Amino acid sequence: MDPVAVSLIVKAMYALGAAFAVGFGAVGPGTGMGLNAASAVEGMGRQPGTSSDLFRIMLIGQGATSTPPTFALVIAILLLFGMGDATYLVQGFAGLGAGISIGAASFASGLGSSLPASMACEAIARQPHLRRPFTTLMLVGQALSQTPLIFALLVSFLLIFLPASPDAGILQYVARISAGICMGFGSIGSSIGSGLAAELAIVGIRHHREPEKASGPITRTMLLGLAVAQSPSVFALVISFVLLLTI
Amino acid sequence: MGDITHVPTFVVELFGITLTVNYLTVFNTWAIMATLIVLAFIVRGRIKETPGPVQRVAELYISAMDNLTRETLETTSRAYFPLVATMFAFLLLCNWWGIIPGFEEPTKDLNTPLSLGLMGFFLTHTASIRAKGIGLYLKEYTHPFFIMAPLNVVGELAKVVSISFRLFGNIMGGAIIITVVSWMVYSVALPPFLYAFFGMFVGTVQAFVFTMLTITYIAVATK
Repeated sequence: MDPVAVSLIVKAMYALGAAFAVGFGAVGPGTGMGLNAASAVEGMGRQPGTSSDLFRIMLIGQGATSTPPTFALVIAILLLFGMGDATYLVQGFAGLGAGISIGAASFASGLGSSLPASMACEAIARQPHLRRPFTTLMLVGQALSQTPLIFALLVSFLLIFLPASPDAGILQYVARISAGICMGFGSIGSSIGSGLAAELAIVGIRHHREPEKASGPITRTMLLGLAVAQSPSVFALVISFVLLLTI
Repeated sequence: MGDITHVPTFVVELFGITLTVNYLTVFNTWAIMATLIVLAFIVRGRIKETPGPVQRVAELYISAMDNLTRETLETTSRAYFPLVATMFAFLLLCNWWGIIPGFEEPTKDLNTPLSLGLMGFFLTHTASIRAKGIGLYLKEYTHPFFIMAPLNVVGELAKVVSISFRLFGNIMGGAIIITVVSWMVYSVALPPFLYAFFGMFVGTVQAFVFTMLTITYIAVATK
C-alpha cells in the first residue's frame, strides 16, 4: 500500500484510540469524584464541626481518584503527539488497542477507587475521633483498587512501544487490538469489586465495638480479599501477554 | 527507551539441553541472598541480654511474622514460620531492589515469582495429603459432584497463575511505568515519587499479599 495512505490510516486510528481513552475513561472518575463531594457535603451538614477535616479528606480522595484519568490522558497524549512515524498498519491497531485498554480501565478504576473515599467522608462525619484509621484505610484501599489500572497501563505501553514488524498479517492486527480489549474489559469488574471491598472495610471498622483493635485484622483481610478479587484481571493480563507476544 | 521489552539472556548448552538464563535476574537474586545472609550474621553477632537497636528491629520483625503465622495457621504455625519469615524478607528486598541505581528487581522476571508460586503449590498439596491422607485429598476434588473434578483441578492450577502473575505484573508494570515516565519528563522531578509508590508501597503490599496467600492456601488445604 502507498506509505502516505498507511500513515494517514494509522494516525486516524491513533486519534480514535486517544478519543476512547479519555472520552470513555473520564466517565467513571467524573462520577466518582462527584460522589466524594456529595458525601463530604452531606457529612458537613450532619457534623459542621468536622468541615475542615472533611474538606481535606475530600480533596485527598479526589486526588487519588484522578489517577486513572491522568493515566488515560498520558496514553492519549502519547498517541496524539508522541509517535513521530506511523509506518506500518499494525501500529494503528496497536494504538487503538492501547486506547481501549486504558479507557475501559480508567472508567472502572475511577468508579471503584471513589467508593472508599466517599465512605471515608461519611465515616469521619459520624465518628470524627477515628479519622486516622479511616484515612489510612481509604488511601490503601484506593491505591490497591488501582492495581488493574496499572496492568492496563502496562499493556497500553507495551502496545505502543512494541516494535512493529513490516510483514504483520491480519492475524497480528486483530491480536493487537484484542490484547487491548481483553485487558481493558478484564479490569472493569476487578476494579469495581476491589473498591467495594475497601469501602465495606471502612464500614466494618465503623461498626466494630473496639475499632482500634479491629483495624489490623480488617485491613489484613481486606488486602487478601482485594488480591483475590483481582485474579480475573491477572488472567486478563496473562491472555493479553499471550496475544501480544506470541502472535 | 526502545529497550523495555529487551531481556538480557545467556544461552548455555548443557548435556544436549539448551538453557536460556537471564543473567541479570540470577546476579540480582544472588546479591539479595548475600545481603540477607550478611544481615542475619550481623544480627546474630549482636544478640545481648539488653537489646541494641539492631536486635530490636530484628525482634520486632520476628514477632510480627510469628503473630501473623500463628493467626493464620494456628497449631502448625511453628513448622511454617521459617518459610514465611524468609519469604517475606526475600520478596520485600526483591521488590525494593530496583530503587538502588544500577540494580533490577528479580521479581520483574516471571521466573522468580513463578518458581516461588510453584514451591507454594507443591507445599500446599503435600501438606494437604499429609494432614488428610491421600484418599480424603483425592475425594475433595469431586466436591460438590464428581463432574466438577476437571474444574477443581483447573482452579488449583489457576491459583499458581494468579499468585505469580500478580506479583510479576505489579513489579514489571511499576518498572516499565517508571522507565517510560522518566523518559517522557527527562528524569525531572517525578521519578523519585514513582519509586516511592511502585517500589516501596506497592512492593511491600505485594510481598505481603504473596506471603499471606501462600500460607492461607496451606491453612485452607490442611483444615
